[in-house]
Amino acid sequence: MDEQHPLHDDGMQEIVESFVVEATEIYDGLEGDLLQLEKTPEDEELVDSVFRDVHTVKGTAGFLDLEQLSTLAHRFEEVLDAMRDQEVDFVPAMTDVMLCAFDHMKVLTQQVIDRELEPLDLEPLLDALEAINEGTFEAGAVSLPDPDGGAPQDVGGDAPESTEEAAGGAESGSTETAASSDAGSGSDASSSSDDGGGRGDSERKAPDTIRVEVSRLNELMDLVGELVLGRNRLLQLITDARTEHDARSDADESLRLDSLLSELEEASDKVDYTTTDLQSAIMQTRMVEVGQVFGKFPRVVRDLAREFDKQINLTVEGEDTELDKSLIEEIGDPLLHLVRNAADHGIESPEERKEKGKDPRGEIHLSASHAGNHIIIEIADDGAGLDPDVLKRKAIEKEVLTEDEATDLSDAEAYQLIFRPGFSTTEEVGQVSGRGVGMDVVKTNLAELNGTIDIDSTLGEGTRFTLKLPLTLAILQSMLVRSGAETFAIPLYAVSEAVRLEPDMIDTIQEGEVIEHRDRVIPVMRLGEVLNVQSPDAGGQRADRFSDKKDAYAVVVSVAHRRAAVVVDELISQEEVVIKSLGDYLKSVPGVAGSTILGDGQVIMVLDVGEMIQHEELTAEAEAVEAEGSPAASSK
Amino acid sequence: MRDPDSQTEDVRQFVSFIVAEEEFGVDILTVQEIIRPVEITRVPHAPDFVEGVINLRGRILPIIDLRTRLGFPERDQDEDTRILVVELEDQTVGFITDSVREVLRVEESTIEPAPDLATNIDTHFLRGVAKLEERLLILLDLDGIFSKEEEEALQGMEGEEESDAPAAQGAAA
Repeated sequence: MDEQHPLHDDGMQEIVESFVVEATEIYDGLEGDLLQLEKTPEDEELVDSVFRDVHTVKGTAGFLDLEQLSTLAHRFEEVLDAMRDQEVDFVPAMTDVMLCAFDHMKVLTQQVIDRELEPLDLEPLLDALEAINEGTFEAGAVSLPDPDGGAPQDVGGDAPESTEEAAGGAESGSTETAASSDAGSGSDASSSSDDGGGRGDSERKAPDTIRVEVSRLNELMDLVGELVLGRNRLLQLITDARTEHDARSDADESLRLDSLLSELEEASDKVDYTTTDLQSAIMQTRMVEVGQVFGKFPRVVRDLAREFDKQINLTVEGEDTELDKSLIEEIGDPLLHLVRNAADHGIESPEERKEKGKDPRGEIHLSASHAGNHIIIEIADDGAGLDPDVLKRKAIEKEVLTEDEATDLSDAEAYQLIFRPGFSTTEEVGQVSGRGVGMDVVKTNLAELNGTIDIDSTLGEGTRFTLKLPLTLAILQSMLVRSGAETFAIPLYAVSEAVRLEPDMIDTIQEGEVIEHRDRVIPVMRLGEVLNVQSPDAGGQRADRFSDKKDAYAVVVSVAHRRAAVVVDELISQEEVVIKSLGDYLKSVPGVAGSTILGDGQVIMVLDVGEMIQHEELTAEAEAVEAEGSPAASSK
Repeated sequence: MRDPDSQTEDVRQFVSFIVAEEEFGVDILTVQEIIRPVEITRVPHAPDFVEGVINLRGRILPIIDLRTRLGFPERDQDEDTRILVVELEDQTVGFITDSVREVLRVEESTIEPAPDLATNIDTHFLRGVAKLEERLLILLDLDGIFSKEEEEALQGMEGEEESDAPAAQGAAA
């Protein structure tokens, strides 16, 4: 496009921006509406809603001289108009055309975002839309272009081989194989996409909301973080003053001071409450509904079902559960992996399911709920389930485990094997050769979010993945511990329990120290050694304090399937800490998640337990070779 | 001294400070403030030249000991020790110096590029040497404070652990 295009006109930038935001919002709801339309084409309100959406895009696109987008939207709109007037005999294959149009609109809008207009070949698509409009549409007669420029897809053909990876796949002619084309199915999912559309609508029209940049909210978060620290300091000082005052009993002076102190305490209580309220109010502004992420899964599952030639019904629950915006952005990919995994490896083919006496239509259930300070997301399928024996066998084959180790594994531990890097599960269900669904990546992503993932599976009945995530990344419940002269914060989500160590509790197995606790053998990690608590500025106090086992405690931590007993000198308290980054230069320090400032202004490190254990495992071997039998600081 | 009112464009101002008896200068525009030593929290597994972090009015700043960084022997802090808070390209960092002296005006023309072998200081962050009337001022470009090796050391910390001493000093020497 030439430079005269309004897209490159400085004066138009605000309009372009608001168009992009509006269009993106519309697309979020539109896809669900289209999928719903496939099931209930006679729903006039729905057709109306879709029509309005497309019309809005058309209007602004025309104004901005976005020729292709407005032409496409116009033709699309005509089809919807005809549907509204019931001039079209709806067949499910038309949904493919509409979804294809939708995909193209998205691509064209993305071009606007990138400020790089590149004409797409819309002819076949426009023809298909025209055909629907004129009543000459025949499933299988048109082939739709792929918006990403790939090979054209056949629509409504009857060959199952034509199931391609690209969006908006084929095979809509036969309603049996299409997941979402059966109007009787998925009432939950249907109602959810209804909600989605409705909500999107009202949001757009609601006069009492304003759009705020996320960076501004982040700034508010930071400021309130400072305020919390200031408050903590204030409370501490007042407590100190009170202690000091109570220690002196100078009668005359005391009376006045005492009443002053009381008033001060009262005032600070007020500040305390207000700060807490403010903090939660600001956190609230960053909360968004998890439905934003869930919303894209009906389409994903529909496409996957076609791709794998399976019948899959997706039900969604709790999509109004809220969590922090930053988390929403991060959980999309892991969830997508898990849903793909369920569709690919979990759900069996219809034939197989029939043989097993199951409903040929498989079920994937996606749900979100709150539990205390956490959000729980579950992805459950009623597919084949995981077979611990197969997993163990594969692990041995891949030399992840020795045979002896494998025998010792419980079923739950065997399930965890699928999170090992390079552990492909393709054979476990068999029929679909997998794209490498990186379950280890899922796990890593979750760990970065301070989240955990659990697997529950019954062979033949299905698998359930349970994700547990904190509501926000900024504030962390932590246990403060002391090692040597230094204080550290251990995130509470990683802590199973804390036990007092008796001298004889620690055994040595092959150079490594372990404790036996609740019938488990847990490796010991001495925090002082792991973190080299003996820095020169500690003034020569060095390590001798923590080699004294008498007063030591072990904090039993578990992150994913890793466990360790972290030996510390003292358990200080449990506290809510505001995580602060160490900055670019120090962000890759292993075992440290960040830092925080305590009430008295002291900076302490917040530990990343999972990383710490991993780091130890990596270095343990090297050390074992190097320091043959001379365990450094554990000598008494 | 030069005329303090000379406002020609090629006069630059530098904050001068002492590390191990040598006088250094950094561009005053990069200096945010100068503070007295405060309690430094060690960062486990951080490279040797990173002393730790401090709390500067609610912000976390990494602290780098210029003695260690420049390859001089370590020394305990004393009355004169100051932390120079400098804004680098991508973050604010505190540098421990033996003492901070004054603000100097230096004409651009008196600045010469750093001689390759003149000092035992890594040339990565040497900006040049200014000839003052009776002495030399070594001008530092602290943005280069992390050389390639150190950035690698920062990235590659996963591998090594107990042996955090040699890497940084080797690079500085």
